Amino acid sequence: MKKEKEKEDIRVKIGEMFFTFLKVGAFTIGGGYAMIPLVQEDFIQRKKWLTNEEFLEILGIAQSLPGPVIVNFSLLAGYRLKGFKGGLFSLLGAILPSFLIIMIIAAYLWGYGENRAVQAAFQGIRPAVVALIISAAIKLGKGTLRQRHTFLLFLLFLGTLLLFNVHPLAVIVAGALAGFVKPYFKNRQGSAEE
Amino acid sequence: MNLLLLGLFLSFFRIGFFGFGGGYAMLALMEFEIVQSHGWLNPSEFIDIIALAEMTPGPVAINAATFVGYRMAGLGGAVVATTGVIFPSLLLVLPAGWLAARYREKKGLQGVLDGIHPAVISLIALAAFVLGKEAMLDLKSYLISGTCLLLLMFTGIHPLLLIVLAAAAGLLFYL
Repeated sequence: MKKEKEKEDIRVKIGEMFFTFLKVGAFTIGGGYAMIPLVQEDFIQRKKWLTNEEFLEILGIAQSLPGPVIVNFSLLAGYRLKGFKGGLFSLLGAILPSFLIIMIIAAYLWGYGENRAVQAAFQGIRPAVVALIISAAIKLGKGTLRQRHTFLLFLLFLGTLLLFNVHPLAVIVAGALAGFVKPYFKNRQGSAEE
Repeated sequence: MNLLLLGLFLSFFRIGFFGFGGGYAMLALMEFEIVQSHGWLNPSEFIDIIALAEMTPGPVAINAATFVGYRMAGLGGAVVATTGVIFPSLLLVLPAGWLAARYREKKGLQGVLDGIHPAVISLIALAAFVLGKEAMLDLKSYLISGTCLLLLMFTGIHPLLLIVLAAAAGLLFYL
């Protein structure tokens, strides 16, 4: 009996999921992270498609993987609820609005080069963008750079990036390696003390 | 033309594949591919794309891919570049979801993720440095940036409102 009901739910899901992500994709301004709270409200509170724990687990995986978080999240959530097709349609819903809006801007509105007012406005906007990026670094750093060794790693990586112009990937790999070997050092220290 | 499309796909594939940390953390990598390696955009155009991404819906990587692709090769370019940036997720997400569910408790994986965190934050800081060089040209721009940072840290100001205010400041200072 319960199984049949689930099946019925699932039939509406792909279309509904597509439109949920489409709505979120069309109305959340400020990058992928801004979309997450809206998805949370729709998926957990209103439609009850996911539990809070499932939501956090999917978000955790989406954040650990490379690529835009909302891309990973929509794929994983869609897949969890309705297989590969569900994931694909959720992803399409999430990115279609920004794709179309940017296309329109690139095609029709980007001829501002000559307009002095628009240039002046963008001259003011650019420092604000830098402030947005700094505040993102501070907000993320507050959580994870508390421990001394992660803070030292951060300084080491930033110094290397600024001084030697290494490829961005190099610090990701170095960080992964450092994180991988750290437990072994800890164990050795632990056993040496005993 | 076909070579350009292939180049767009590969560049944005790399951005998607190596873009750990999402959003701002991907900026350094995007700057490397789009501005430094290929010169598809100049540095100030690149900052303007980020501003545009803040003002329009959707993730910045998708916005940049669509924009750069369209500018370089029209509709086909936009489709190819956007597909490039999401393709790695299509390949990785399902096996990774399975692996993560299996090995979540293992210390090795958690350690790797913990080690990636400081790297991701250093990349965000790098993006601020690289773009700051292009955006901070005089005292007024430092004033705008400093005020914005204080607003962001101490009030819950919405990024869109912040950008509107900064545009107004730009008109006031530079017109």
